[in-house]
Amino acid sequence: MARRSPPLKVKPDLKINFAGLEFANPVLVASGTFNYGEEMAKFYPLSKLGGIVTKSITKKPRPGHPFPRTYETKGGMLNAIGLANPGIEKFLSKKMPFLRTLGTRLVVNIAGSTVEEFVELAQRLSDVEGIDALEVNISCPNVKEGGLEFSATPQPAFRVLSAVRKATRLPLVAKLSPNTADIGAVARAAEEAGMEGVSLINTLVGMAVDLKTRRPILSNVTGGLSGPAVKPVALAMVYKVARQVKIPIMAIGGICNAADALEFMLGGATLVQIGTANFTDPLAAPRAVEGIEDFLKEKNIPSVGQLVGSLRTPAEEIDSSPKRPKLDELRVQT
Amino acid sequence: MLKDYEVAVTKAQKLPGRMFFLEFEAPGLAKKCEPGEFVMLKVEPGTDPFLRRAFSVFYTEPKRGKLAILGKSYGFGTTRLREKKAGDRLKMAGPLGNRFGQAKKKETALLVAGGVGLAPLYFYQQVLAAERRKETYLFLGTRTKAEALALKRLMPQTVNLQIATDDGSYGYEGRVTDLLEKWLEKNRSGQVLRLLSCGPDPMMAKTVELAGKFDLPIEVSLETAMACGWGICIGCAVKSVPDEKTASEFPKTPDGFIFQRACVDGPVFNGHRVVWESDGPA
Repeated sequence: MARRSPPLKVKPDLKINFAGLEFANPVLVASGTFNYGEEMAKFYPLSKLGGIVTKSITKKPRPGHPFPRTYETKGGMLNAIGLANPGIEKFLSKKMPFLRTLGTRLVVNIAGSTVEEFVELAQRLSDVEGIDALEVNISCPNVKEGGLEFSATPQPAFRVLSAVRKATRLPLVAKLSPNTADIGAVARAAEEAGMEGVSLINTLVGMAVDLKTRRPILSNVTGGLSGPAVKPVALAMVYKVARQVKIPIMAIGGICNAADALEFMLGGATLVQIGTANFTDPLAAPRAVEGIEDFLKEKNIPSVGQLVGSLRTPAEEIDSSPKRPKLDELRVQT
Repeated sequence: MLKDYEVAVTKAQKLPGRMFFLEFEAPGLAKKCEPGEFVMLKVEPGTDPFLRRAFSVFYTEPKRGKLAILGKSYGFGTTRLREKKAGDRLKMAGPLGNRFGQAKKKETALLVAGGVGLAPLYFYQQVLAAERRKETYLFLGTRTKAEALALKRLMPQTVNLQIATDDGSYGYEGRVTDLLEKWLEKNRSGQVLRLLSCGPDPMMAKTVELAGKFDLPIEVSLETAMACGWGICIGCAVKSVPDEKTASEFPKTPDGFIFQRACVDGPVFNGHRVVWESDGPA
């Protein structure tokens, strides 16, 4: 039996660098599962988090879809909120003053229905004090325009992301959809477009039916599946993308606790986002931070960064030279 | 601050009509909760079921550290809750949501309840009674005599209780709103009244209609399904008529209404502003 090294005397280092930004720890909360922080600040000081990703901001305010917007499924839930949000101007005047005070990294999620809208949003937020990065939501499954058509294939993703890239100096993270034939190809397009990182996965398109009424349960008919049920899908996709791009990854998809977070880090994620778990356990995110620290102490690992991509895989499975698209290939159709 | 408490079941009772009653040792929440507020219960640890279930508080006994709820089993989560036994431990987050408005001096509160919608209204009545406030009348509608008696037994302290059953096996035969209408026709003049209602949506919609007819203020406590319960999922959308006082983060819909969140903007709403649709508030 292997001898265990004695537990760490010093506090393990939870700090981690993502695209040149230092995060106090690798645990963020996912867009659309935390609103703009105000509600959750009633449960715990948000400075415990590595960062917050805001609910999507659009150019114009959106009322969202009619009720029902959510439905519980086995090990998860469907949602079709419809990007309900106050719009960028109200976000800046009503939400940013609070978000600036939190003492944690702030990633603002933007969603446009056209390339131009994405560009406008990025420009408008570019010089706003207190914003550390933008997450570009090209993967919302619940809107008619600007959702999946940008992230289902590499070319449209490249087109919108390279336009956003030119519009701001802020670090950019593209949020990718699992509803695609090849998420690796879309991730490579994001890298070629100059993204500092990618985040994945957004929700999987799903549906529920009411047998009694013979109607779809959600007002939008289909919604996005999230929660522990999607974790294996997310993990496989993070693992795949990590081997195909050099830019760092934020993992999203059913992450509920420290063990989940650590598994994704082994699979290649630098940061993780806790999402739907915020709905069922208000303290899921700060507990995950504590759990990661406990794990490092127990395993005598001085820094959390050492875990990233440290999954032990059979050598033959590791594809060390993934096919990378040439920039010209992508530009052909832009 | 909001907290997620670990609480223990002290009394568990299955009631007729798929209803149930649970009382918890929950000293932290028993001290804090006010009528109208609700709690989110994690039925089981883990993911089955995954989401919590929302319950209005039925009563608290702050000195004994007790808090009780009423529920009805509709699906998997509530069916599991109905099977809980004394000694079972659960997670309970709260207190969540807003409260019923305080009754003003000389105001008589008419409480109109359908089934387990009784919970927040009984709590309201008990708090007023403890303060020796003005009179209240509690109108309760159930489907059967068995349901009516089971609920009646759980509230030994209640006053001015009038019961209607759908099948006429106990009390007034018919809708609780018919009972209310008759009472209002007889007693409306010369009284300062306020209406509060909680129960199935058609019942609340009818109560609001009566409030309009008799020119009375009305608050309704909505039983909208929620994913989170604390304002972050934006799932529990309630469609309402905007006015200058109505706060909403969201813009008007194309047809001129607004969506509010039942969990943080409610669950208590001005009944006159809620848009009632056939499938409930939409």
